[in-house]
Amino acid sequence: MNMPSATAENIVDLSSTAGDIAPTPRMEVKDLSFFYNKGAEASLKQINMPIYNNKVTALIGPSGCGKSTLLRTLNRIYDLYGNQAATGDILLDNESILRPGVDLNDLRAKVGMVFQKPTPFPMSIYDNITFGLKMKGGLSKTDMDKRVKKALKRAHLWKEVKNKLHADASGLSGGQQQRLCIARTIALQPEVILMDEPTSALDPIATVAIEELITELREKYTIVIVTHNMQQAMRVSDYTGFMYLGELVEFDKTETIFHNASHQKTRDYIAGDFG
Amino acid sequence: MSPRKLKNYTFMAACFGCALFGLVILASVLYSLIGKGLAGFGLHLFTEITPGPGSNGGLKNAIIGSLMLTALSIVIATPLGVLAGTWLSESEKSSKAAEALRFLNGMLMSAPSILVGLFVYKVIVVTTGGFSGWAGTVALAILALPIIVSTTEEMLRLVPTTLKEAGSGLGVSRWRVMTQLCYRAAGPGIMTGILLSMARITGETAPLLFTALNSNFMTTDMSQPMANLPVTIYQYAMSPYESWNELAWAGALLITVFILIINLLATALPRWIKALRAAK
Repeated sequence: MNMPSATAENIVDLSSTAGDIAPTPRMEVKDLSFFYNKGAEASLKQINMPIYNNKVTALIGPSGCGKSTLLRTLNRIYDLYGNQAATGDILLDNESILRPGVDLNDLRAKVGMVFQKPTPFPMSIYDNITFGLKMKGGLSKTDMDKRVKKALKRAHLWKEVKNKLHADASGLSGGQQQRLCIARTIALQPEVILMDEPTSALDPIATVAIEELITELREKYTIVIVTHNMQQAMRVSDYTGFMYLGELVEFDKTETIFHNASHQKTRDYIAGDFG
Repeated sequence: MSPRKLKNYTFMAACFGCALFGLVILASVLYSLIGKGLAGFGLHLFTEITPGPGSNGGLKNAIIGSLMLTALSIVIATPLGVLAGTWLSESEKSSKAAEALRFLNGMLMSAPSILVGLFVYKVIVVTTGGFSGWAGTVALAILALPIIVSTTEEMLRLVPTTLKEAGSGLGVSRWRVMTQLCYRAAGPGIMTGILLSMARITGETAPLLFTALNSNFMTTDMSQPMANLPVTIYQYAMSPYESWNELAWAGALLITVFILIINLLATALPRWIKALRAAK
């Protein structure tokens, strides 16, 4: 390997940075490698990274560097496809999510995901939110109504849709649809929210709305966001990981990564020299 | 005129000519069908049963028989076809079993319908000791099945993977993602496929000759030979009696109109469903 990668040591360094309250990791990625096909070259190589509680962690890097792949291991959504495999470990609240026998539906309710393109379900706005909730069971109609309202309010969509909750969700604008997808995810009260380029399909105004929302949601949730927009990473994240060719080159506080990165490759990428 | 334009016009003219040729043939078929069919058309078609040689009557028993045979065969073929199509769409692209099933399904789709009739004759008519509505239903179901299988698979493959991932990403089970998200998204397309398979089997004659046969009586007993439009048309059109010939034309027009309606429905249905969902 010609590229230095982040190790467990500088993670310890980070959490003991003087003057800050040491963040606690909610998730930990340990020696994670990922293969899109068994026997093929690894698409992620020995990744080690903490995901701190109630912080926004951004993953940046050029296209094909593995940032979305890394995100997709965190809720094991890759498991939908038979021939993809991960080695190493990922911990959520100190428990492995890669070991056999993990209840994937349970895991995905705890680690929610928002995708690049808004993906409203072909049903009403209300049903979009209750779709995941119904899985949990035991919620009365009034409880459901409350959860829907709360989720929509938190996603700043309530005012726009409160009079048309039973209208088809596909009638909403792109930005509204994406906020609906976020509302749908937070209605399940997850611990971690994964966002895969959540604003890349949206116009600048909708983007601002989503970014403000991310900043607010940090108070209650742990967020990991993949973005190819470096300004966005700078605006919304507390920590940033720079990835290149399947390796995590550097992981540090966002400020440090953008103003004082220790690796030449990171500095080059941030300066816009490649990518 | 430049050579480029000349080539363009020649090609356009050739395309137009070929299209016109096809349409003229279709139009002349329809013209004679409508002309001769309308001559025998009337309320009596629906109220009287098929007459004896040389006398007058209608097609009531054949119409009801055809409707029953078609409807029941679709009822049998739909769950089988939709489930098989679902399995195909969910199977890995490299799956050998799925590849084999897809190939066989393609064979079945292009198999001559008379073969299907003979197969059902051997398997059901011979073993149960007689022609019956049930045998006809099975033969038609076998013909409708491959169409439903392949449209279901195609429509489900068109459902964006992001939709499935979004459903699974909420911790929803694969079963519910399939039944409540994918079927909903692909539903109008699958229904179009079912209707098209119905249009296909409505006019089938050969498989019914060996199975449901025909009957001159009004019966809804599926264990007996059953009157149906295609075989009635076949027999009456070949007969020397003018009243039977007239009924055959009227029956042919009836089937054509029925198929036309199904086809229109198949085109309009997706739009209706969409409008209905939006209006809610």
